[in-house]
Amino acid sequence: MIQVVNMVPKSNSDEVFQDSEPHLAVNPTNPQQIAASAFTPDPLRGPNAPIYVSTNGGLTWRLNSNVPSGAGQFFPTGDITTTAPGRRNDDDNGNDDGNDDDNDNDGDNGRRLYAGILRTPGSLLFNALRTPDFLSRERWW
Amino acid sequence: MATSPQVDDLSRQSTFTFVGTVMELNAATMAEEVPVTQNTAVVHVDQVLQAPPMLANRDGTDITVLLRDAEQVQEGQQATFFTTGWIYGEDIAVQEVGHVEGRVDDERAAELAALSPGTPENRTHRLQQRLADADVVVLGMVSEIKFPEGYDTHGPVSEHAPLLRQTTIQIETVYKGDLPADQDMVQAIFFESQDIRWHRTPILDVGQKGIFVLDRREIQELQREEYAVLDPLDYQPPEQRDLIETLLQGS
Repeated sequence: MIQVVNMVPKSNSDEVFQDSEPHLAVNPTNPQQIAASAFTPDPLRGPNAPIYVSTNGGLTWRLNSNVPSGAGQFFPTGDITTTAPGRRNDDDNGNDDGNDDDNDNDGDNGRRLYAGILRTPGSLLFNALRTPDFLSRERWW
Repeated sequence: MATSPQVDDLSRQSTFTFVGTVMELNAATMAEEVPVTQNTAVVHVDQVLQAPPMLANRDGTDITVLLRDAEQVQEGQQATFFTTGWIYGEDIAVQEVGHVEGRVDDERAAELAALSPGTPENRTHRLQQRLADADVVVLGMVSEIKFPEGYDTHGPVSEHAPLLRQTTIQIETVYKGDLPADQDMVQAIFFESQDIRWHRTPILDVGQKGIFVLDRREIQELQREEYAVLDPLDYQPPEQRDLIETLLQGS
């Protein structure tokens, strides 16, 4: 059985944009945590572009506007393509506890996320970005 | 009291501006979706000043604000908050660009309100401006769609190509424009592409009725000027007829 979920959050439920070119990245240490992207502009036209985030395996989603972008542009950042490079044997507690489960990757939990984006204004420029925790309000760089 | 340059600078950086009262620090209205920290606060929206459509009706509600510096505000304090979007879930959380103490004066509040794209007044104003700028405004029906003369239909096509088409509009009423009295049709270019790049441009179908707001524009692919239906305001559904007639009479 396949459950179809509308990823657009309730607070943005009247949006009529063409949310095309979707992309998903799953935290390999905790598959309940998923990041996704599409051609979805920031609903408030702010300086950041949003990614979709779920913490319950995709049952519900929120938009987190924290990807650098161009303020006021209709499609300021496009083709956001994400990957979560965490390792399956990380313990995902993100602390430096010396636990062998971390496999010498303490602090390198699966919530670290990379993204390739096309960024405007001006000509489209490819940027590769990283955030240490896509669930938090950490900015990308 | 905030200076005008300070307010100008903050309003340029923000997309949602409101007069609010800080209800609770270290709190959030969306506790499951927003990481509550010492910089998150629940703020009561006393009056929206500048907002996109999705936040235009937030007067009297509570909203989560990520403060720049929680030590700069106190519970019970009223301020004018300049914000951008942060998290959109069951509700919305915004992040503060800055704030000024109390409510901005009436003149400045009116200036901020004029920046809101979502209010009915401003949508009507934009349509009125579009009608005033147009060369031709007609009520009619799309009777034919075909490739424009001289359009290369065989070359390589990008996924983002606009896919030009030429429509023939049978004219029922000429509201504006110097068309000959015996002219009963007008032709215009539109884009048939459904690509995200052209998402906002109107796509027309044979039999479609409405009001067409036309300008002669240089069409790069054709290297000539044509009437065009490219802006979202260039096509208005028949239900807009009374409003458009009123706006044209007033211009």
